[in-house]
Amino acid sequence: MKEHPALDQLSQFYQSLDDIPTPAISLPTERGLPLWALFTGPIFASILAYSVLVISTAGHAMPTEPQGPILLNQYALQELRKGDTSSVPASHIFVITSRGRVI
Amino acid sequence: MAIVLRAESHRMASAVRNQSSVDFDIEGYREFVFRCALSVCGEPEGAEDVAQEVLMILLKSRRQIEATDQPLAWIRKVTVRSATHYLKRQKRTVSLQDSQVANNSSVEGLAVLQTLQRLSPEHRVLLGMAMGQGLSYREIADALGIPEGTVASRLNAAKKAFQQEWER
Repeated sequence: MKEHPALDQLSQFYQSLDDIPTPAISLPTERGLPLWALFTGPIFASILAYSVLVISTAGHAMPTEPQGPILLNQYALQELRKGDTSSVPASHIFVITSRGRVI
Repeated sequence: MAIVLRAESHRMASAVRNQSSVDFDIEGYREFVFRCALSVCGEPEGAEDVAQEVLMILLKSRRQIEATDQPLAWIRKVTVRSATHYLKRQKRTVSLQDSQVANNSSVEGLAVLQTLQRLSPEHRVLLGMAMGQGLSYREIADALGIPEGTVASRLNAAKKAFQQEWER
């Protein structure tokens, strides 16, 4: 019995699928990650990243003696003159006025 | 195609039987899973997605496969289920320009694929299993968990639906 032409086409279509090669289907891992790794992994990574950040910025955050001239505006200069200057050695303070004069 | 797929199935089945439980290797199932998925999906991109999903399931169900007498029937059932889910959740139309089918096949092939995409997932699954894989009513019934009589009637309905859509 002859099939409907549409079904002939369908049959040919399925035959044509044979020509498509099987792709290399990649799997993440043959054994798979344990479930606990999904949760602990990101937490561990966050802690590690935070630690690196703290260590790398620790040197900059520590109060040290100024490495160069400190530029102060007039208000800061007044405050400095009135207040306590012990935290900054006088030898390190250079004040440049608006006219370019170094005090 | 049906004969080729069946021969492949028998070859793989004997190979699987000869394997000891220690030798269970997912590689041996890649071809079988992809071919099953391709006959249901009708296009390689979808079949690859389904095959990857099924292979992941197989990795997790290794002991279950080793325990069963008919591993290929079990794998076919899982593949058909995954392919059906894929077809159901496939909201967008497959880009025919990007499809490997579009590159390799004739205008008629594209027309068939477009017609298939207008059918319900259930009809596509039945046509793929019966005409694509050449499975018997019994094998289809086992894979879908329905009686053989239901397979026959649904398959006829699927063929009619395809003919109607084809002539539109």
